[in-house]
Amino acid sequence: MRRGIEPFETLKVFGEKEISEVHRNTLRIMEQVGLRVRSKDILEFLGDNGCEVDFDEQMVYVPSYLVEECIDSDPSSFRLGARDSENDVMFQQGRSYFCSCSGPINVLDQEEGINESTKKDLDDSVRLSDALKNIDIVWPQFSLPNDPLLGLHEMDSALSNSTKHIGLLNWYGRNLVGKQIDILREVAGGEQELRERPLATLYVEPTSPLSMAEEHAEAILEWTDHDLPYINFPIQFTGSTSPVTLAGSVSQALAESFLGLVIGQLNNPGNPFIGGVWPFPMDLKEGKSPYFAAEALLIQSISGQMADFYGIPVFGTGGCTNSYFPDAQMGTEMAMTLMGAFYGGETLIHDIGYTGAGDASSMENMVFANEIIEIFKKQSKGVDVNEDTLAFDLVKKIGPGGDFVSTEHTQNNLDKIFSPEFLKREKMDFLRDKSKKAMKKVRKKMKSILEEHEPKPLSSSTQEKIDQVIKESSEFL
Amino acid sequence: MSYLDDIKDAISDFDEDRGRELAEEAVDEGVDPLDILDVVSEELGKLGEKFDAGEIFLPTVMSAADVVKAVMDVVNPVIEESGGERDSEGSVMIATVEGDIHDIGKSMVASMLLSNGYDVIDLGRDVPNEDFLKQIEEKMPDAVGMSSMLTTTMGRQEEIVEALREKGLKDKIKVIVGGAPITQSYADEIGADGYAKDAIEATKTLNKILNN
Repeated sequence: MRRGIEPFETLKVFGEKEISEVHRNTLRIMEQVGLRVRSKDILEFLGDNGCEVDFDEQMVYVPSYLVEECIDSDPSSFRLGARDSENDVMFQQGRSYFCSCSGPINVLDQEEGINESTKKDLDDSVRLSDALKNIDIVWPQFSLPNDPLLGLHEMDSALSNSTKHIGLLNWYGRNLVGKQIDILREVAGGEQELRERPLATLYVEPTSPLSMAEEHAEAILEWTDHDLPYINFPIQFTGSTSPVTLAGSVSQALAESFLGLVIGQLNNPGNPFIGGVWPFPMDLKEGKSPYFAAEALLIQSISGQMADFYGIPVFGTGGCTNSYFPDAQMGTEMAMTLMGAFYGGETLIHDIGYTGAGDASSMENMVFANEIIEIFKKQSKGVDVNEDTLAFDLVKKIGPGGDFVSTEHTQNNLDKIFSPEFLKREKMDFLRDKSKKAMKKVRKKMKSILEEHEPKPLSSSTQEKIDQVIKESSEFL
Repeated sequence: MSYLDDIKDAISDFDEDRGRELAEEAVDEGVDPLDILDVVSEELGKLGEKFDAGEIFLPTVMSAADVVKAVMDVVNPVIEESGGERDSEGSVMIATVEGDIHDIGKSMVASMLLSNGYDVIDLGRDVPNEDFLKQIEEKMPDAVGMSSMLTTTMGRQEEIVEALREKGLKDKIKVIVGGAPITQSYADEIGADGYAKDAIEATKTLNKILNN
């Protein structure tokens, strides 16, 4: 069972007053400004369930009490199933879980450069995440460009190359999401089994500011008909698709995320839901959308604090970079975004591997991030203070001028000091040995995993049924 | 102060309403609309250059472009009515393709093109292929720009290019594409004339394919 890790303490940007002001602002946006939902069916559904609806403008205004009710009915912890029950996740707000990014259509490799992703890259990235012990949930790291059955192909890749819980981007409306659920039911062994141990979490995305496309709204209804967990995560670029001020930007993002919460909870109270807010403001000097920013840690921390206030787990963002090279920029940005997400208290930390600000993804960076997470694990244990750890008697015994290396106390506590695999000190002379660079070692490790790691395959009959469903699905295009 | 100076001020104050009002008054008072157009284009052009040089922020250019657009909406019909000829780098029709409601990137490109002297017809986002093609045939712009942010909507770009080819318009109208999943090789594959990774490059690419 995977239980995630919890930092010994989280960062707190806000006090209680700021938290409640942002909360009130969020409710005010949902009730007074409203949100656009581009689907008559969904608007009807929301209208029937207590929201005020304007069909001509495709707007919904959600009364505050209803939002509060949905927040209350939403669970703060739930179980995520996996093909191998050892990999089931006890998912809980307040703890952190890690997964790769998803979506780029280019593979970045230190030696091979940038190449458009293929089905094999999807499969390889899933096998890699399957092998890395600190990766809790598996997503195909890449997408296939211009593939109308992408959502089904991604699902096939994730299910057949990993025994962990899988994450999926939503590409579809009702019909094809239904086909995805058919596949999950097949792999889980039945509807009831799927409900009890859901194999997949779906990612849907509102469009900032304050809109939701029809297919995403429909997907939420379809998915929550089966108790399946989903994420509704806005990309509210601070300064372009949301206010430039962080308090306003986060309030708007929460409103956008909570629209997804409301649709799901009204359809199926208690259905697992993951919220969240995007942490990287638009670069207003250049008009570009980055995957690192100085403000990220502040927003990540606010996101974590709001998650704690609501008792709702959030989707986080870390391990990503604007750089295309294994360089200082990459290392800094990966580490800082991961630390902001983890110490900020975000729950499901996604986006590991993004390079070039989302243009590409790197499998090497997954291996590298696996070590950073291992470091968090070490740090999460904090520092014990007791007679043994204060070690007064030992200090007295060794006294001035002695050493502690060969004492029994050190021997008994060797596991207290972390030994890195990549972030090592390598003594080198004036001819520095590049093969000993951390990222060279990372690449070697990645290669060896891809050569050796073979997760348990799906049974041939299940695989055949998946192929059959994908074949049938072409008719919906 | 003349109307032209006041309009310049409206641009630097980002006051869209004031810009529109001043343009209307100026036209009524007999100020040559071509002079107004010159002034606003020059102002926006200066801001565009400063942005390229990294001296000012994008929102400044976009806010100024909104005022310029408002002024142009007043003076352009007057110029057309009087049969006047105005300087332009060319006309570009731009849209985010069907099924895709991402707006911001496309709007940035529109602002930058405007600031570089193009006439820009912005059809908005999620524009159905049918409407897009109808508008193209009606207005016959020098170039068409398409944006898509999703791998699932990028196929619309190919469909539009294909439709232009079928209608025999492909040689008459240049096509430029962009958006997160779009690459130069995709642009080549579907037969687009140009690709741009961002708003600054869009102007350069367009200048190149239109031989400006």
